Order: sequence, then C-alpha cells, then structure tokens
Amino acid sequence: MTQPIFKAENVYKSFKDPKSGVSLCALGGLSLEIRQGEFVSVIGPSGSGKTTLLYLMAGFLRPDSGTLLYKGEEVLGPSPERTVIFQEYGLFPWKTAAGNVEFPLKARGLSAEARRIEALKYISMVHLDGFADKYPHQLSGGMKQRVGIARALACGPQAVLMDEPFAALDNITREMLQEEILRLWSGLGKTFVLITHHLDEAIFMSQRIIVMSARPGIVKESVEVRLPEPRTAEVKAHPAFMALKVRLMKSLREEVEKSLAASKGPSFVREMGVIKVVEKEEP
Amino acid sequence: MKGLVSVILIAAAWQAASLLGWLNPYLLPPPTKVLYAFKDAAQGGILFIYLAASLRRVLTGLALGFAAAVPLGVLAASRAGVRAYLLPVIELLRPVPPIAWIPLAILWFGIKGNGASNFITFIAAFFPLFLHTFSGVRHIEEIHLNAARTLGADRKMLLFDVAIPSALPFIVTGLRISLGFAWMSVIAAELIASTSGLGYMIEMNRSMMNIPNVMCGMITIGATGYLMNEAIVRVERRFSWKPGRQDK
Repeated sequence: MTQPIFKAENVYKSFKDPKSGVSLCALGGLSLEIRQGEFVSVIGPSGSGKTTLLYLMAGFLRPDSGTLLYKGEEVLGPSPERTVIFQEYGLFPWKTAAGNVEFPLKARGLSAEARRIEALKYISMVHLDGFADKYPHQLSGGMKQRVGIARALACGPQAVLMDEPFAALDNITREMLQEEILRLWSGLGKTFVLITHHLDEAIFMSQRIIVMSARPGIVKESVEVRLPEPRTAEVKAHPAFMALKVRLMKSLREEVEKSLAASKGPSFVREMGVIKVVEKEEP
Repeated sequence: MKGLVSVILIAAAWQAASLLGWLNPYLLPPPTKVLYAFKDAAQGGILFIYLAASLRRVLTGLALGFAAAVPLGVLAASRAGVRAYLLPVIELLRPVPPIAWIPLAILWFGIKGNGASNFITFIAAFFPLFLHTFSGVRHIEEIHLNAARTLGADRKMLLFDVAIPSALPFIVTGLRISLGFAWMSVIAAELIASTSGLGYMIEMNRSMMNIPNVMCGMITIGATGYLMNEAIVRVERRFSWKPGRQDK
C-alpha cells in the first residue's frame, strides 16, 4: 500500500484576534488522509476551517499541535510541489499572463528563452493562446483564473490545492473551468484538493468529499462519490448525484444548525483582559 | 490650456496695474520689464548656465538620495530588526528642513563648487523616497507573497520579482515628491551657499536692486519645476501597474 500524500493527525489551529485578544479555535483535532492522485473536495459550513486546512497543507500556516505530513514528512513551509490556486487568483498585476506563468519556471532556474516556450505551452493548455502578453487587468475573471491554473501547473506540482477557485466567477465560466480542471487532473494524474462551499461542484468534480464539522473544525465524514468517470455534464442528472446531494445537504445543515445553536449558547466575553464564559440571557 | 488662460489673465492684470501706476515699479516691475530681463539673460547665455548648474545639483542629489533611500527603504520594510533600529533615527532627522542643514553644509563643503548644494538636495530627496519605498514594500498584498512562496520563489525573486515591482508605483511617486523638494531646496541652498545657479542669480540681482532679473529667475524656477513635474507624472503613469491609473 502506498503512503498517503497528505496525512493530518489530531491537528489543532487557533487564531488570536489581535484587537480583542480572544482566541478562536479553527481546527480542533482534525485527522485525515488524502491518497496520491485523488481528487478530493472539502466542504463545510463557513468558519469550519476549510481554508485554514488548505493553508496548513500549503505550508502558509503551521499547526499549533498535531502533525501534518506530506509524503511522510512534516510540512514546514510552502513549496511548489504543493502549489495553490487562490480564490482571488493571486496574479501579479505587474506581470503579463506569460510573465505570471513564467514565475515558477524562473524560480526553478530556467533560462528566459526556455521559460517563455514552456509558459506558452501551459497558456495554450488552458486555452489562452493570444493572451500571453496581456496584463491581468485586461483579462476577464475566468481568464484570470485560467492564468492562475496555468501558473500552478507550471510549478510541476504533485498536489494542486484550490481555495474556492471558482467562487468569483459566473455560472457558465465556473462550469467550463470545472470541466477543464477535471480534464487536466485526469491527464496529469496529480492530487487535487478543492475547497468549496458549492455542493454540486464538490460532487461533480470529486472522487471523495470530506465534510467538515462546525467550528472548531474536524472531519465529520468522508464520502466516496461513485459516479461514472470521466465526468460530463450528464452526471449532474444521475440519480446517484441527486441522492448524494440530498445526503450532503442534510449533513451540512446539521452543522450549520449546530453553529447557530452554539452562538446562542455560552459566549466569550472579554472583561479587563480576562476571558470569562458568560451565559447569554434569554429574553 | 485653461491654466494658460489664467497665467495670461494674471499677467494682463499685473501689466494694467503697473500702467495705472498702482504698483511701485522698483518693487514690482511690470511683466514687460521682466520679459526684457529674460531676453537679456537668455541672449547673454547666463540664464542657461545658471539653470544648468541648478539642474545638475538637483539631479546629483536626487541620484544620491535614490541610491541611499531605496535600498534602505526595502531593507527597513522587509527586516523587522533593521526597521526597529532605523525608523526612529529617520523620524528624528526627517522634521529637520533641508534648509536647516545649510550652515553645516557650508562648514563641511564650503561655498565654492557644488558640494554644499549637492548635499542639501540629497537631504531633501532622501526622506520622501525612503518613506515611499518603505510603505510601498510594506503594502505588498498577503496574497502576492503567499502566491510567490507557493510558486517556489527564493529571497532574490521575492525581492526583485515581487517586492520591488509591487512597490514601484509608490517609489515613482516618492521620486516625484523628492524632485520637487530637491528643486525647492537647491534654490535655497544657492541663495546662501553658492556662486552659481538660479538661487545665486536671484540673490545677486537683489543685492543690486535689479528686480526684473530677480523675477526672471523666479519665473524660470517655477517653469522648470512645472516641466519636471509634468515629465515625471508621465513616468508615473508608465510605471503604474494599477489598472485605473494606467488606462487614463
């Protein structure tokens, strides 16, 4: 049996609000495994620590306690092997599309000429031929994210971590990019992790869906998606698709209700620098 | 164009006031007199020699200021240790106007030559450039830093491909402000600590009560400053990667 590409064990992560000093627990002992070559989505109510989990995997953050392993080794910092596609694209506005895609190639030490050739290859992979020399502000949202995808692929990554990459896009663009990502995934055989709050997207794209609990986030359940591959738009009309959607919706709803109940219950109040737990008065 | 209309109107009013005898011709000579002074100074070539002397000092000070301020600004912004030591010193020196350095500059560099004036323009140019570089680098967006790191950038790429280009619009704005400061300061320096330049020209003509030539020097200073600012505004647009400003 091959070892998982990512393995989290009992990971805790909390953030301190710099103003109030109250610390908020984002992940409360999360454990999970992601297999090599898998397409996994992570869903959960907002505030369940999905992005925190992704940032830990990317190496932008370190766990407070617990371990997070990438290929058996602790994640100590960011690496192009585990690159990220951001919701807000994260393109460098002072570089052209090609300049952005060339960035990881330059980091790998390729010559200017080789970089350009290689970058154009990736740009054409995401169907942006002819836009190589445009600046990000001259491109539409969908095109920007295509550049973001090309740039991530130019890293030659083992794992692609996506933080709600389609959230800022309109529906048609979103669906086209979903299909494009799936095509790239099945062609490349790399591991893809997708953070999303969009159920259809998670079911349509993934082999497995990880549902996170309300804050503090842990893995509530992991659901295999048994739908025919390669996925096409018809999959969305499949009875199994609908059944899964209903099931996940229920699961998510439970979590949202829990977090609502929690906010009605005891709450943290800061008083003279001391955190006290106070019962809220019911009217 | 509307600006030109105002300039002409002011000159016309000024001329009219002079003709009506409302103005003392010795203290405020009419524009025609000033124009004659211009013609003489330009024909003799002295105006251009002095203009070139002042410009050279400004550009020298600006270049020195740039060479010192930009690396220090980047360093202070990217290293907390450097920042902690450097910023208090900068903030202590910054309120001292460049003109207040003139006595020291005279002692250190003497009246003759360019040393004193170059030093003053350096002081004037340094602070705006430093502060703009500093805040430019400090204002890098988190997402750009994260993106760079997840794409495999090392320190060198973080500096040259991310920090500096990201801060470039700030740096160019700093350059514009520094140029204006340096230009104002060079005139002040030349009034006191020089034997050439437009500031010297004004002071020398004042001592001879040659007011049209004083005004001719002042107008040259204003016009040159205006043109330099216009030029650098263009550079600013060219180097701004911010969409709204670039498309203007």
